[in-house]
Amino acid sequence: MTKSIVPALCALALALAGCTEIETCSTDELLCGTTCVAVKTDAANCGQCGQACPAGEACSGGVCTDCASACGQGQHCEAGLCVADVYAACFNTDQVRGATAALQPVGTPLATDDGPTAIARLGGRLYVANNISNSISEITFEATGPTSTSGASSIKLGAGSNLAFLAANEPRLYGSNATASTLVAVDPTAKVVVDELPLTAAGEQGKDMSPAGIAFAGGKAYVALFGGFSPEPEVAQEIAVVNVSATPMQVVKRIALQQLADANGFARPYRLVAAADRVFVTLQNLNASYAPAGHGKVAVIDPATDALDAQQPVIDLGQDCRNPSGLALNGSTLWVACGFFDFITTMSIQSSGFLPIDLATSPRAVGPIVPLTNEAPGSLAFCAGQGFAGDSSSGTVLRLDPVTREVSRNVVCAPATPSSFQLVADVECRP
Amino acid sequence: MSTWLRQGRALGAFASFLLAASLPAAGRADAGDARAAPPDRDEPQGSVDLDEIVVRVTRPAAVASAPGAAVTVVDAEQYAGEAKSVGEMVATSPGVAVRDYGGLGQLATVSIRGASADGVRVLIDGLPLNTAFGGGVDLSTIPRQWISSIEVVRGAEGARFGSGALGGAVNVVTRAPLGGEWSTQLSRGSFDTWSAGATAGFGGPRWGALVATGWDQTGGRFRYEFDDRPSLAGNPTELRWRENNAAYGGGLLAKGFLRAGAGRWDAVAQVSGGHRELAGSTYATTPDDAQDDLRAALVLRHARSLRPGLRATAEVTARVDTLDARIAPDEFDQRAAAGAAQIVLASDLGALALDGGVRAGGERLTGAGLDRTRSREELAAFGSGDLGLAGGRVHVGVAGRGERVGSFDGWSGKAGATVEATRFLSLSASTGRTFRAPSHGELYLEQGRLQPNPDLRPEEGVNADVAAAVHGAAGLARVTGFAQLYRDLIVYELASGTRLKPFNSARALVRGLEVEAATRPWGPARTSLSGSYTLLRSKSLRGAPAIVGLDLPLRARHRLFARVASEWRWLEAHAEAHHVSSQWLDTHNLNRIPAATTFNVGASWRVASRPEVRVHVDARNVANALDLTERFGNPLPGRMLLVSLRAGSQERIAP
Repeated sequence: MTKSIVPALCALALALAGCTEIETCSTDELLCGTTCVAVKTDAANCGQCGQACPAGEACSGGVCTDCASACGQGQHCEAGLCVADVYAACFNTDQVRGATAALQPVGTPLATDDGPTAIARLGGRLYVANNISNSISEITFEATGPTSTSGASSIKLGAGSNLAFLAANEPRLYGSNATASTLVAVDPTAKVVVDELPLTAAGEQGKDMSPAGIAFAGGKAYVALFGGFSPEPEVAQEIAVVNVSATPMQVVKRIALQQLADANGFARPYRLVAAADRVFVTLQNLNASYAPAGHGKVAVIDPATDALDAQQPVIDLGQDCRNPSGLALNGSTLWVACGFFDFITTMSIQSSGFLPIDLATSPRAVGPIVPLTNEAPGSLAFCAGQGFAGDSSSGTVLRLDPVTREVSRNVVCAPATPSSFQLVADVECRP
Repeated sequence: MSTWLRQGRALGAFASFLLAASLPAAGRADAGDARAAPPDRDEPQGSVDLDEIVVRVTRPAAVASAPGAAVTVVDAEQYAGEAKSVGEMVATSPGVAVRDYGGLGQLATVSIRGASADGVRVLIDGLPLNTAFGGGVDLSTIPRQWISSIEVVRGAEGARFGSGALGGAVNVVTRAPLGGEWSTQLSRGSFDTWSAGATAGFGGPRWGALVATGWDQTGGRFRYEFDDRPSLAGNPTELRWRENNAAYGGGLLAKGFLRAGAGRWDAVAQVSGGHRELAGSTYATTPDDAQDDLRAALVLRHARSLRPGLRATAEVTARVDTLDARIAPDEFDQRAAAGAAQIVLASDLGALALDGGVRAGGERLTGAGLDRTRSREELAAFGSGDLGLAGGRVHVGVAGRGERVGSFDGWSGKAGATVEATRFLSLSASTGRTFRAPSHGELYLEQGRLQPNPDLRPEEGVNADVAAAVHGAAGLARVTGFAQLYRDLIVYELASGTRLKPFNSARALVRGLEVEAATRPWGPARTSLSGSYTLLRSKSLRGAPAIVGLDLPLRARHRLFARVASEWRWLEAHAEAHHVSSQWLDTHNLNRIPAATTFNVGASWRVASRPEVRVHVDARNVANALDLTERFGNPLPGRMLLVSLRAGSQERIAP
């Protein structure tokens, strides 16, 4: 079906259905009911609406295909699609690379735009926030493997740069525009920005919020306001609570965190996860030179009150965990990726490792760290009882066995040159 | 008014271009030979006949006389009375992009042939202004009232200007100490802008002195279009005021010469400084940020004829730069002190001219973010030769320079030839190679997210040029084709999550055309046209696979400057257009900075002749485009009006 006919048919279908809005499907998509469907790759609507592939088969080019035999080495067939166990965002070489659970690279690198910094999963696809080019690349899976969009086919978020994070909350993607201090809502199907919310309050025009991580709980988005180059303690260093159900989105509350930082430090809230009826936020607790000002910390927010947890507002991660970044839940244990790479003075990794927090105890108890000496992990994800983390400088992806506390590693993101850094900005694994 | 002065303004661009396009002159000097004073009488003068008009021009600059050199000389005096910053004057040359970080007295740096600001040497009267801190030279810290002309030299010019001139060099030439010449100017303009300046020359043939002062200030408050939801298509913009954007600054220049016996003494002393508020980005304003800068410099030089055809020049220079910045809540300071001594021997053997010399100096730096006081020495040995053949119609030149900059050793070379093919056509070609030692900022400075890398290597630049110049009664035109290769370019990469560290990880190729042309004045209104055009095709050669082959960010492919000027009795008028095509903000060529075209117009009336008194009215960005932005997306000012009153002597007394 040609591109010009599809919108017309979509419009007609919507009109017949009594809709007041006209939805436009992109190329290679059909309007099935009220949803645009990629009929070339959707195993439930393969080639046309409602034509589902048999179990174990994938939809490739609009034709049902034997997925198990079509997947290349190192990929596995999942819901009719060929996928890798782990995907890593290779910031410095502008790629997403797949790997097996054993950390062996899989398939060819998937080209993204400039500076892939976060991966979000939505509707069986991966979406990659490109920090420098301020765009979103889309990774789709087919029977023969994944493909990615870049350049003209990626989703543009306007001029400027610094798309710092991306999170999915069905049916939309939400990005942190750190330059403009806004939260951006994206319709990934239409590939357009549908809403954008300035995170500055009245009287704060021109304040640098530098939004970072995002998590969702109770229909609200919790956005870490990391703060700019020279943060002012009275702004940012907070969590913005956003009602994403409202149109347009609204900031309903700001939760202050600066009081949790050490002297001469800034809280620097970075990543969040919603778990066990709470929202947990890593506080990097950095000084003006972005070096640790003290122990790493995790702030605990009660989404019922949108305030710090009354019983345990903050968890001190101890001297073995500084500069905490990613965090992820495994069962009832929250794991935190810690570590500071002093690549100036001592060229050493400091206070690095994986730190467990038992959420089943009261108060929540910090366990002994799984130490690392050569890597400072930034991102962290858990799948099938295994943790996967990306190192911040070597391109290494780490695997943590939380039971044996053993760590294995492999370079998944090769640096551009032997002496260059390679930041594994994010890792994503199959649930 | 004398013929010289009456024609001077209308012919300004024309005469400037003559300087650049003319064939090599016999006079030679090292680039470090500061043009602190008028040339000796026994040195040759350029002279061009245009019908009954005689335009007298001083001899071309040293590098302009180098065979094959790609040089444009911007006559700053033709822009007197106009609201033109130093950066805007430089930007009238082909091959140049001036990055204006806010306009109105704010930071302005220059890029030549795609090189970064660090890859351009900027000098004033031959004195290098680049400091070891790096980051290029802020053109807005040079008082424009001092300036007589600006030499823009394109290509890898380290052989004559020293390491660091990867893309080229800009030499600002201050006014000459001409006895009896004086001028004064007072301007008032939009955005609470004021400007004042005065110069006075003393002396005669045996000695001369010049005192020049300049002062500029602006409130810097202008309206711009602000989009609070920049990712949301169709979001309406609102007009906001640019706040905390004021700037003021000025300087005092004193220079002189004395002829004694077989020698000549020259001295230049200058001090300049200013204060600048730092507005920040529109999304992250910095209402409490500001900076103060101060520069003091001294040049002493003695030139002596040792015997016929052999001349020695000894020079001592000293320079101090300070920068104090408040980036709330922190305060930063930088101090740089530099000194050098140089000896040059130049011999004139008829068709062959040779020179060579040595230079020794050093720089000492302290400042926030440096772990300790840093210093580095600079040692250089250099030489050049120029052979004239076929009765002077062919010139072949070579130059070389070996240098040690701190712990980095490197060499620069240049070779070129110019052929006067016909009476109307000259052809030239050149090639060059140079390097840039990493700055202390890149090696050692730790400031916020920016981290140093002590393992950096020097950058390298190589170029090849071919050019053709046509000159006749109707005017002049010159076309230069060039290719420039940059290796081991230093770029900052994100590391360890939030911090940036520099690596020698980039390589780029830049090719293009540089066109400049000027007509002679014609008609009763003595109308003249001049302009320049640059085609610049840049290409990343190294990096992520997705960016290899794409344009370098912030390198516009097309730049055009055009000016028409007329003079009729007591009235002069001009109009200008400056077009910069769209350019990419990122290495992936995804985010585009739209093309921008600005128009300037102006006029002046001569209200008295003895002394000459003129009233100028100048309008910049007459279309009042409010959506102009600099590289970080921050706004540039809209329409600006400036009214000036100028007065000055009408006769120059030659030394």
